[in-house]
Amino acid sequence: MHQLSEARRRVLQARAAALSLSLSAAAGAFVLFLQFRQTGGLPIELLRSLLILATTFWLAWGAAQSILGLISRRQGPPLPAPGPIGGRCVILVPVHEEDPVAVFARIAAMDAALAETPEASRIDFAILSDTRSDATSAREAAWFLRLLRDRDAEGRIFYRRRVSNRGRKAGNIEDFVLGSGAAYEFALILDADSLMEPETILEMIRRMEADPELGLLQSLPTIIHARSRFGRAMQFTAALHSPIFARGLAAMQGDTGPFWGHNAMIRVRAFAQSCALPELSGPPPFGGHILSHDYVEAALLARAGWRVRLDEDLAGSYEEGPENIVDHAKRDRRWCQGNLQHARLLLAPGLRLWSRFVFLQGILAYISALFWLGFLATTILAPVFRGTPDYFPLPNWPFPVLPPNEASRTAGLVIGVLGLLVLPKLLIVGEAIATGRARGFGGAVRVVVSTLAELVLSSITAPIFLMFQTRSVLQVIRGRDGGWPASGRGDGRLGLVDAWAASRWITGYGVAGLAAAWTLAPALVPWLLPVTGPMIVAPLILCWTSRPMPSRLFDTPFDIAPTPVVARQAAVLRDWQGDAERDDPALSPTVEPQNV
Amino acid sequence: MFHPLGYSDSAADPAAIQRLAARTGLLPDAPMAMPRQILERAPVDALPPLARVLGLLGLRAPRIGS
Repeated sequence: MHQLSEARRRVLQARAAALSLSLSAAAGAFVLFLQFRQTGGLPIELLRSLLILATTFWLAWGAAQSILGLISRRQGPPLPAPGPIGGRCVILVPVHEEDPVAVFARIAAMDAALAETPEASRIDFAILSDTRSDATSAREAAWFLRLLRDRDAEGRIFYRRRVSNRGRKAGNIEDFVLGSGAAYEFALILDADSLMEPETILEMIRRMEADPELGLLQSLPTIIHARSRFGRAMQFTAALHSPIFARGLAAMQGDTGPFWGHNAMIRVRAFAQSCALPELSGPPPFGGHILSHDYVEAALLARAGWRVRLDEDLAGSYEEGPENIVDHAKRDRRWCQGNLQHARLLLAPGLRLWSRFVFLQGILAYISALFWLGFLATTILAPVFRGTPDYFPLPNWPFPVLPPNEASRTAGLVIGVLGLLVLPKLLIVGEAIATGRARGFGGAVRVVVSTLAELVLSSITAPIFLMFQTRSVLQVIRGRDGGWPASGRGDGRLGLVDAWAASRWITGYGVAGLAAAWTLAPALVPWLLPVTGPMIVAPLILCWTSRPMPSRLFDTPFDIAPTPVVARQAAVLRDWQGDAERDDPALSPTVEPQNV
Repeated sequence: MFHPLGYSDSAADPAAIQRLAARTGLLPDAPMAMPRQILERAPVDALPPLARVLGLLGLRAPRIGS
């Protein structure tokens, strides 16, 4: 009891610290920005200062999370000792128009790795297909039979294709629980591109068994198999920074943790009791099926009194990421709609306060793009609203008082923003070097070089993401439903024509913004170039970042020393892809090259 | 049609393969109840302020609750 209240106190302290830091930074930015304003145009200056307040809060919130991660230690109860497991577990792999060769090769690799443990008989797999196209479902069935044969797995690896897609992924899992849930105590929910070490799976079961009130245990998936410049930069930053950010997040969330939809284990009974999602009244995008179901399921588990925990120390949990900016933007469009839909649930009955705050954070993550763009637009337009400067505002004072220089104010803003964005990353590099974690990335020098390169790349791509995100938010607000497109996988290389088609509108806005600044506020042009420049050449950036990266820049521990299950998956995939291409090239899978 | 097990042409009929996959992949029969959760109070009256501010639902007010 004392332990619990102590844990609760630590969580509240972490939340208070992060909130205080963020609010102080935001208030400071607001006051300074308003104080050093130009003469005249108070309403637009006030609006700009409010926009700065909102954006600074959001940036500072991220920085606070990383600082908390740097100073916190692992949360939660003591870890259980390694030993046999008691409950039965099923590994659920929902698929929707995926390449079955790549997905089933991952299952074969995990099953083979689990077979080498004494607990193999307690763990089954279930492939839950929502595929609608005849061609892909035919390939799924054929490759499922191959999987069964290769792994001698009839009665251990299951395959079910739904007649209807009701409720999409959440409905798919729900259908499984309704029909087969009582056969298992735990279910590990994976994505089609997930992979997990057998020891990680067993450790998650042990942790669930050690804490009977734990309803969901989320691991921190590491991105693997990235090949493009964009993909490898994301993979690097996720491997280096995410554990620290996740630890900060875990410190704040306590037992009201997150569910990211995959690479997480649920207690089936808890999930069944609390996670049957209703359809929201009204049509999509704000009504109907709940799109970002995972956040809601985590909130519902917490509402029912179950613990939801993020254990960022669980290694050996993998996923794959988008290889280019367009695929990233498509995925982000889906997440944007899902997060904005959570506005409907802010006042849902009985939710914990932190769950509501998590919904709000998710909404802010997307609408902050509007704040940034609003700030840029008002900055360019501000001179139109200003009056003539009064150089002698003080009576009986013989010397002129010069108005604040707008360029200096912008420079101050840039420095502040960079500080909040860059400082946490540099601190994490310091932590990685000090703790020896950098050795896994090829040493301190390589970590520093990769970090600097990633900072340059993310600065160049940030305005492009800002535009994609803004478009997503506006589309959702205008009521356009993004549907349920299949995930973009494969090598992701973008040609210049495709890149131009996807981003010419960004080029147009970049040119228009620069022209407006040139006309209305020429002094700001150099400061706006880092934003408008990448926008203007967006097609080139999209194309270049989607190309494979031949160098060792952005190496991660996974690249340097692939783990056994990853190597095994690559071997199975090579074998199966060879068979598919030899027998019928037309049916060969989308190439998913592996860099191992 | 190609299939990874190398069946004869007649057995390689996609429908036959899908029936075989469905039969051999049959999930355990172990039902469990899932009570539907309540997330909305009275749909129209309980719209959160943020949703109103964003104008998310105003556009569709007549259809809410239908």
